[in-house]
Amino acid sequence: MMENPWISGLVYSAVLVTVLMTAIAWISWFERKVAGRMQSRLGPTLVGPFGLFQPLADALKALQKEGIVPKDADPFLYRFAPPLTMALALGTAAVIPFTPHFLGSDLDIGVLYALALSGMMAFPIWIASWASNNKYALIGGMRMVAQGISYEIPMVLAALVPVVLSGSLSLGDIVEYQHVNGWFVLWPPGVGLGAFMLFFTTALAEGNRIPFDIPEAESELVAGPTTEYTAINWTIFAASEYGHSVITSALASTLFLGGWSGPWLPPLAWMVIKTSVLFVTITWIRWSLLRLRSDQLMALCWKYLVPFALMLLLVAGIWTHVRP
Amino acid sequence: MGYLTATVQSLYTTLRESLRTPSTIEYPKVKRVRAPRIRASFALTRDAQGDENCIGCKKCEKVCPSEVIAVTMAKKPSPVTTKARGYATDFTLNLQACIVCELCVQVCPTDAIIMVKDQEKPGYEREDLTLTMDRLYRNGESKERWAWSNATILGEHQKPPEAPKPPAPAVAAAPAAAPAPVPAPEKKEGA
Amino acid sequence: MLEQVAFFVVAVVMLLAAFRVVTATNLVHTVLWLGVTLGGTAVAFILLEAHFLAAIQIILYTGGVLTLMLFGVMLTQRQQGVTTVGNPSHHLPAGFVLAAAVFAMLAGAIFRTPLPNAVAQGSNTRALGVAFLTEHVLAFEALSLLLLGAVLGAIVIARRRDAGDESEIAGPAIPARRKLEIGGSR
Repeated sequence: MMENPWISGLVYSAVLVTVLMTAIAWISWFERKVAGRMQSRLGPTLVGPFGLFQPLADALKALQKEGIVPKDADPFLYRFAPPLTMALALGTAAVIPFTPHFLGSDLDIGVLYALALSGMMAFPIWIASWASNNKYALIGGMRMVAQGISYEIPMVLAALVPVVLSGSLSLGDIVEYQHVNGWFVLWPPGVGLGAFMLFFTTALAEGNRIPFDIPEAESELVAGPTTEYTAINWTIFAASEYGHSVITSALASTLFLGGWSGPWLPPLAWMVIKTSVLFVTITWIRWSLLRLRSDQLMALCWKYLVPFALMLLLVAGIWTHVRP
Repeated sequence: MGYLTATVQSLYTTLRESLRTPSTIEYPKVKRVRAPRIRASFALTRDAQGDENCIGCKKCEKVCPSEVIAVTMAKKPSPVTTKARGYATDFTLNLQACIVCELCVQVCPTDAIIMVKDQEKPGYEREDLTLTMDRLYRNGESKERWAWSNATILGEHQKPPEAPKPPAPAVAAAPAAAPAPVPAPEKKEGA
Repeated sequence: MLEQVAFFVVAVVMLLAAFRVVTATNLVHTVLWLGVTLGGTAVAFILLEAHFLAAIQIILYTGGVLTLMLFGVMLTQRQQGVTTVGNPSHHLPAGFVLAAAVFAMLAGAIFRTPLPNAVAQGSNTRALGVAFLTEHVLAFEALSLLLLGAVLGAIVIARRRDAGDESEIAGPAIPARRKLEIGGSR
């Protein structure tokens, strides 16, 4: 029965969505704990042992809040934007190889599909900001779209480096190649590491994480594009933002850190460890660094990251021909 | 390049902090260690025979800068000495506006109002932080909770220093000055 | 059989969305319906096993072109915060006839063109890449030059005019800045 692609696809999607949504909920707990420790305080401690049931309390609180829809908001688009964001964030997870066998669909354009969906995530948030009929939300939305489409370019170029080195767009093939020839972040020396740092930085920018979180700059724009969103709608946005960070961590660990390959631990454990390490790094960076201004952000992208990305791609291409 | 070193420095700082014990004290599960002379709440005292010390003179009400004390006075016969004396029939202290200046403790002529070391627990209603007479007398029951000072001790601290004694007269002028009696030093005991 | 049904569904969605593109009154809605149409095109590409084109369609069109159109709509037309466009079509029958004529011309042209049989060895992406760099390399390079020209043109048009760059053609004389004499009034 599992050979039937419909059944296996349905089962796999159900399992993946459940696991991902649970992971996203408890990642909020994890982020608050890590944030607390980095600020020399405890995180949530009261709800359940070590505060582990805090996400449940948050969910219950959000569910019982009053859902206010602004009077002049676009009635369809305002309600449509949060689920669309979540769908895009979760859809990217379909191509990530968590184990050699447990792969949603080994598309032969896996990398492109993942990048397309994660690059499109700026769009529903813009729809949300415009549909809110709020000037400040719109400013946040415009900034987010500008940032999203600018940083998509170095992201795609950085993601092309493993594609060029391994010769395939399929994520399963890239991991197989790294399983045989060593992780890209270590070999070829320099190029892989540079591309990894670049991809990581642009993933931070795409996910609106500090230091690139000017669209939702709390001290300036209340909540940025999602200002007018209350209760459960806002929770869906926050969850999709966490989801985006988790999925891009998984993507980065697949493209550069070797995915499920590694000695003597089961493949799923390696995948979870690598994704967790990257996510901890994202959280660590969030609670350490300052926010970049809009113009500094754009200057960084266009003046430094794009030439760097092109140079890396060139070196990767040359390496493919002269590799020993 | 300065950006890069600053980035690495801040990342290192947060990493170092995350590996240390956090400095949170989980009140109210864990009580903080307080200074020995801490003053936190108030109490009214009784004397050795169990009679209320407070005579209702309203000095504390008048001296309080935040006007948190309200006293109603009446003359009643004392249950211990059966003589009529002043009592406070109603004594209310609003702890929310108190600035803990201890002036009410200083001016009390009978050492009635004192401070205690334990903080009142936070509550959900305004009445939880308004100390009534029975709460104040209950606070004053166990002597371990009393803070370090009352009106007498504070008065001792605030007495002016003793005037220095005049120097003994010289031997040559002694026969001339000896018959003059040395005037007794005037007591400058002002309160 | 399933593919026919899927293609039918996609075609209906695309036609509906395209119709709404033309008839929606709110300009931003128009652009969003265009996004649905382009997404439908991507799905059609997938149904035709052209995966690379589908992904590129999403990245470039819905991720790029649509964003540009939205920026254009947002930055050019603000009437009390609502961007609407009136749709009084006075020549509806003529419009229908014209549309039918264009459709007949396009359909005839497509059905009469001898399209080469799709021979995909290996993955479609690989075939596309090889074709770009061997058979059609001249068109590829010419396209890149065209894109370079477009980018340079955009930069030139969007460049801020400096103070010393006044052109005489620009209407009535705009007084150039004069240095203030010290101690004197203008």
